[in-house]
Formats: sequence, C-alpha cells, structure tokens
Amino acid sequence: MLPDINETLALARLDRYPCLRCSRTSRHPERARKHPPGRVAEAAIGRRLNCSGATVQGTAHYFDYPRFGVPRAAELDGHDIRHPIVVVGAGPVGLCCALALAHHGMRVVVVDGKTSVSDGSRAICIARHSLEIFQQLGVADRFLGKALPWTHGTSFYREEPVFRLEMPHDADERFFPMYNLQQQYIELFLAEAAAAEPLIELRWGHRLLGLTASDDGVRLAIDCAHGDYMLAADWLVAADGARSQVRQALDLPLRGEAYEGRYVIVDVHLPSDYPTERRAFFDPPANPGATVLVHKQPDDIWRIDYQLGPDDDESAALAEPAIRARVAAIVAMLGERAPWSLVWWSLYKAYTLCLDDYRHGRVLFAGDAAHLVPIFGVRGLNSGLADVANLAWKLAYVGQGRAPHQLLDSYTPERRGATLDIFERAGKSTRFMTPPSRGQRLVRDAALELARHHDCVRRLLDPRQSVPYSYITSPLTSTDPVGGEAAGPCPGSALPNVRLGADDFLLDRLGPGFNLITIGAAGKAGAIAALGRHAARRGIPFNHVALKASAAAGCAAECGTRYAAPAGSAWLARPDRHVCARWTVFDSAAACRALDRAAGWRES
Amino acid sequence: MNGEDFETAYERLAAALDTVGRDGEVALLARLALLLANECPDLARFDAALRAALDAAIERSS
Repeated sequence: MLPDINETLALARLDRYPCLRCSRTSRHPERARKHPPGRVAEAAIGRRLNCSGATVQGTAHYFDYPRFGVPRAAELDGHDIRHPIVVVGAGPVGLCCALALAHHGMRVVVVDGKTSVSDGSRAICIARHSLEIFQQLGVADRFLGKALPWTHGTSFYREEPVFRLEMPHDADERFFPMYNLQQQYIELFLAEAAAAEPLIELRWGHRLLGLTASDDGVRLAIDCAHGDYMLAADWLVAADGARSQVRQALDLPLRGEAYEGRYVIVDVHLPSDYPTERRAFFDPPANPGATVLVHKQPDDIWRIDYQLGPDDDESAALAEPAIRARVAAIVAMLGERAPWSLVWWSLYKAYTLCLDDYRHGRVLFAGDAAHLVPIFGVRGLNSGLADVANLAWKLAYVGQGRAPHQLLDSYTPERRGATLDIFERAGKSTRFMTPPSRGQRLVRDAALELARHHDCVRRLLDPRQSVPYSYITSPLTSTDPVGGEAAGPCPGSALPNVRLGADDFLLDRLGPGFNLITIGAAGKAGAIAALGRHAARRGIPFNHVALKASAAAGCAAECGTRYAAPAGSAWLARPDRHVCARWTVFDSAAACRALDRAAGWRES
Repeated sequence: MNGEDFETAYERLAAALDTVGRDGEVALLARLALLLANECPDLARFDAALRAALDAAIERSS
C-alpha cells in the first residue's frame, strides 16, 4: 500500500479538474481538463490551447487536433433512459472498448470531459497483438497506413553496441511485431471509427462529477455545456486513465511499488533517414551514468526518453532551456545534423501498481484505471487494449443473455493475472534500466561491460517486449488432454497466426464469436455441426475454420510448427481469440462442455 | 577442477584483484561472478555458492 502514490494520483475533489501544466484547478473542462501532464513547446507546435484558453501558433505543426462537438444528451430533454453500458474515458482503451462492444452487438455510450484527443505522443508502441485486435475491429488499415513498423533494436553501453534485439517475425505474420505511432493518432483513428459506428454514442465534453453503484446498475452525475444530468446504465467500464475518477469515487486504492528512476520524455521534430528501431543507451556520453531511449515516430518526430540523475532537481530539469541542452547533446550523440525543434515533454516515473480487483459489482476497470506498469517493454497501452478485448465479449454476452453474470468473475483473474505477469517482467527491465540499489547497479554494470565481448551475458539486456498473456490457469480454460507445446497452441494462449495464401491468414478467417479451428477434420462434420447447434442454443455466435492437413503442414515454414498436430486436431477459441480447449481427436461432447465452461455456464 | 588447478585459480584471482586495485576490485568480482554463474549447471549450484559466501560475510560482520 502506497498512500502517497494514491494521493499523487488522486484528484483533490471530484468536482474539480486539474491543469497539470500550471497546478490550477477548474470546473471548466475547456480550461483545465484539456491539459495533460505533458508540456508543449509553445514556439514549436501548431494550434493548441494554453491555460488561459489562448491559441498558440507554432512552427513545427504536424497534427491538427480535432475539436469534437459537445452533443446534447437525451436525458437533458427529460428522456428516462437506461443504457446497457457506459464507458468513462475516450482514450485509446475506452474507445477500443466501445468498438469491441459494438463488434459484439452492444450499444454503448462513451463519456469524456475533453473535446479532443490527448496532447503529446504518450504511448507510441503498438504490439502485434494489439494490431490483431484492431484488425478484428476493422480499424487496422488506418494504423498500417501511418505507423512505422519495426522488428529490432540495439542497446549501447557508452558508445558501443552490446545487444541486438530481434523480435520474432516471419512470413506467417500479417503484422510486424511492433509499430510506432503517436497516441493522438491512435485516439483519432479510433474516435473516427467509433463515430461511424451506429451502436456507439460519443459524448465529448461530458464530464463525470460522481457516481453511485448498486447491485443492479450505476448512476453517473454528468456535467456538460448543455447542463447537468444523471446517466443510468446496467454496466460501467472505467477506462479513464491513471487518475481515474471512477476509481477515486469508489475509493479504491492502487497497490504495488514505485521505482527510483525518473525520465524526461521528449518529442522532437527531427528529419532523419535513420531506420525505425528501438535504441537504448546505457551510460552514454550525452547522459553519463544514466540511460537514454530513442524511438522514431511518423512525421519526423522522435521520442527521446532520458533518465534524470539522483541529484537532478525535477523542476529545473523540466525547464525548457535545460531540456534543449540535454536534447542537443543527445541529438549530437546520435550523429544527427539536421535542425530540430522541441514539440512536447513530460516527466515519467515507473510504477507497478494495480487494483486488487478489476470488477466491483457493476463497475469494471480497464487500462491505466486498473493498473500502472513501467514503460520498459511497451506494455501500458498494449495491456489496456488486451483488457478490453477480454472484457468486451464477456460484457456483451452477459448483457445479451448469452452468458451468466458469473462470466465476468473471470475478468480479474485473467487480466490482473496478466498485470502481475507484466510486473514480474517489466520489473526486471525497470531494475536493469534504473538500478534501485548499489548491488543492482554493480551487477547491471558488470553485465553491460561483459556484454561487449560475451554473448552469454547479452540475454540480460533483453528488454522483454510485450507478449500476449496466457490464460492457462483461467476458470474458463478447459483441462488440456494433450499436454505440451508439440500439438499446436496450448489452452489459454493467444491464437498464433498462419499464412494460408498470398494475402490470406488464419486470423482473417475468424468470426466474431467462438471459433473452432480444425486440421484435417474429414469425417467430423457431424460432430462439428453438433457443437454449432449447441452454441446456437446458447445464442453464441460460432464459426468453423477448416484447415487442410496438407496446407497446414506445407504452405509456410512456421505453419507446421505453430499448428503441428495430428490430422483431426482441433482448437476452440474464445471471441478474444484465446484458446479455451484443444483436442487431437475432436469430440463434440467435450467441445460442448468446453464452450459452456468458456462462456461461464459451467463451474470449473 | 582438481586441487592443483583450484590453487592456481586462487592465485590468479588474487593477482587479478591486485592488478585492478581497490577502485576496480568490486566490479571485477561482479563480472567474474556473472560469468561463473553462467557456467553453473543449474540455479541451485549458484545459490549454494552464493549462500556460503553470504554466510561467511554475515558471520564476519557479527
């Protein structure tokens, strides 16, 4: 329990919004809530609002911040409406949640006090699995048209490369392992998709004042330019970020650890032909005794994260001249000669904090509202997107009567389990990036020194990039009758992709509900149809993807290993594309039991 | 490693520590420990050695 951190994250009062740029608070969302914890170089960026609401014109303008209109809620005209689901927070996690709910046929209202997308690049790394989620929601193309893909990275000790990060990538993948894209683009693309979705009602400029939750629903007090009103819903998804007002309103503490290291994260406009990769510098000449991370983003924007020393004063370090001096040294170290300009900056500290339970009755938490994870390994946004991919189908099925309420009890063990796994992995990365003790620093420096010449030590420098979490221990996952990894993806794991043709991949063929994937299932048509009828009786969408044994074994190099299993094998996947059961000999009775269990109808 | 080689290792470790001096001896030992950890057949073997070294340090300081 770290009350100081919770105090830091808390809003002083629910009815006031902080401007984190200037420490003022305001009830007016246009004057206060618009301000993110980052700062903007006023001479370097285009149209933007400062604390007084004045427009700032800049020279390195690269992104037009949209101004979303504030719609009038039907409740203000006396309509007594009870919505199935309300999502608080129109950041990337909240918007993705709304799209995923609509994908499963649910109406959803999204409320957010702001009227534009978030300021500054913030989360910039989108993992392959997140692109697969976007593909499922029909929005991946916008991302692919803008984001910068990458597959590798280099770590330097002083000026010498000591580790080469190569992320798994081959012809069986539709997407690259990682893409860089500024968060404002991520939010914009998702917001545009949500605006085009008839099942989603976006209420920009509608600010949460407070809420009450009971056993049968939630009531939210909302304020907007048209007036105050009460918003009633069966379910509430809190996707309102690290300073979650919903979390504050329910007085739920985050628990965990805070790490020592402090980073200044800076966006710089710098034209450069350097390829897109992750670069990490340990004890570099431009930041002696500390670390620097460098990522390329679209529009000639570079993200530079540099660690502050233990004696650096935060306010002095965040003064623009100090940042210019540090960035100039880093840009020179990178060998870049083109003129550059500051765009945005902020201060970052690493935390591993989460709620004890992600479900509180009718309120479910997702993304940073539920957990804060270190940036090292790029798991923050990606784990939030995985949260809502997990949550949306469960919430939709419960709302539609396709599954019992108990299905939602699996949300915390699965997604909090993923968070704790991240804490374990990212904690190691964070301790390596920012050693918290003399012993940690001695061993870290020893590893860096040895990595120059000893291959065996270099694995210690692996930043442990984001990978999908396995729900092997979930109550929804059936006991594995096969065992081992030699028979294709294990129960709990995310379905791996497989190339089936020039522009044809396994994941492209999946339906929105449960999917049965079979290899060489000749003679099993009756059994598969029986499973389909069982799903239909539950009202659960069901899709069968039949892979030919020969195609599965021979069409691509990895195919034979990813789904290496005897003919007749089958995998049942949930709507979020995690395997809930597998068989080497398909059995419809076992499959019906597995489907029931995965939909929450059966006790584990 | 036989007894004779172990004695030689002892001498060479001492000589290496003398060579790097006080300023470098801690870093040298950390690097050596990491390389030897990588040579251990399993974590238990490393843990046993670490525990023995730690016990000696605690006993000496108490």
